[in-house]
Amino acid sequence: MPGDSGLTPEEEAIYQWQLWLPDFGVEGQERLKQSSVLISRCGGVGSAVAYELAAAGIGRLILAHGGELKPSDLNRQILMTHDWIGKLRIESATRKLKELNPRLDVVGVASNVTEQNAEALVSQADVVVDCAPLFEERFLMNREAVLQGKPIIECAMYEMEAQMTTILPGQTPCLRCLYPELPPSWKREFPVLGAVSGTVGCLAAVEAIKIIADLGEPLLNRHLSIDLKSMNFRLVSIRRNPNCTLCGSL
Amino acid sequence: MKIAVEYTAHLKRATGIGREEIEVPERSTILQTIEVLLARHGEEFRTYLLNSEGSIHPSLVIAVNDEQVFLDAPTQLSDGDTVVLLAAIAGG
Repeated sequence: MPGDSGLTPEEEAIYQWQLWLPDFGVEGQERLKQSSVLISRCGGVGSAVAYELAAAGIGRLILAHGGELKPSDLNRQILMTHDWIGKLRIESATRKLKELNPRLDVVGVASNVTEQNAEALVSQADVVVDCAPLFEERFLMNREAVLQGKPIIECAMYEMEAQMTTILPGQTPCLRCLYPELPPSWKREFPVLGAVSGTVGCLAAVEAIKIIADLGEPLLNRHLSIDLKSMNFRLVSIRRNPNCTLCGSL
Repeated sequence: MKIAVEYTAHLKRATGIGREEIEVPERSTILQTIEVLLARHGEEFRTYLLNSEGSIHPSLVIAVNDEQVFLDAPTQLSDGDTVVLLAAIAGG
């Protein structure tokens, strides 16, 4: 009956069509409402993750992204607006998300994930989505997720390709299993088409929802790589590294 | 025997192709196949595949027929296998 759930009448109306999703329903929606997701960076990928999670009814988003908006951000960072050039990105992200979902609790951190804040940021989240453009940052997120036992979704793009895997510490390879050393020749600036960022960001949002709502089969022990130029999608089975310096003992 | 090799991300850029079919001797291992690839492609490709000691970079994920393989357990290839070199990317 309407009103019997932990959802308000307004929420029941907003998520009506989502509640019809098999194996999701009111329980899944309530789980989203009660959950917090940390997103590292609100760039091309992270913006899409945040927006879709806000639309789906996540309870809280913790967003970590430093710096001010540049013109070159605007081909992909969909939580930004043209009039915000030169201003803090995190403020635009918070504003746009609250416009979509005023019930959403947004913890906006005007800093990228660093050694100083990684532990505290991850501790606030039930799930982490890693959208950082640098491996040093990704390794920090991965370390804290593993140490704290938090699921973390690794999603990334380059040109018209994207990759994603979902990490459950102790059950799947962590990022250090896959990349024991800093990958060679990754550059901070890279070719990017916004719709590619948005694609993998949406996929990551779906993964986060699946984990929180215990829905479907997350991308565990599998690595998805997609080439949107050729529309070639590939799933590779991946394994934990028993000698992993981070999660090998788990 | 004939195997297919697929490249991703900056490996694709370095080789100029996304996929190719190559001939390798019967019972070639992954390492031997990579040696063939290094001989086929230029210096940029080499910098992405090898570390400063000339070994395969440990952060290159290699798959054979959609299963990750590790170089410490030599994998012999078979005719018709597909090898995918998954370059690590972090674009966000």
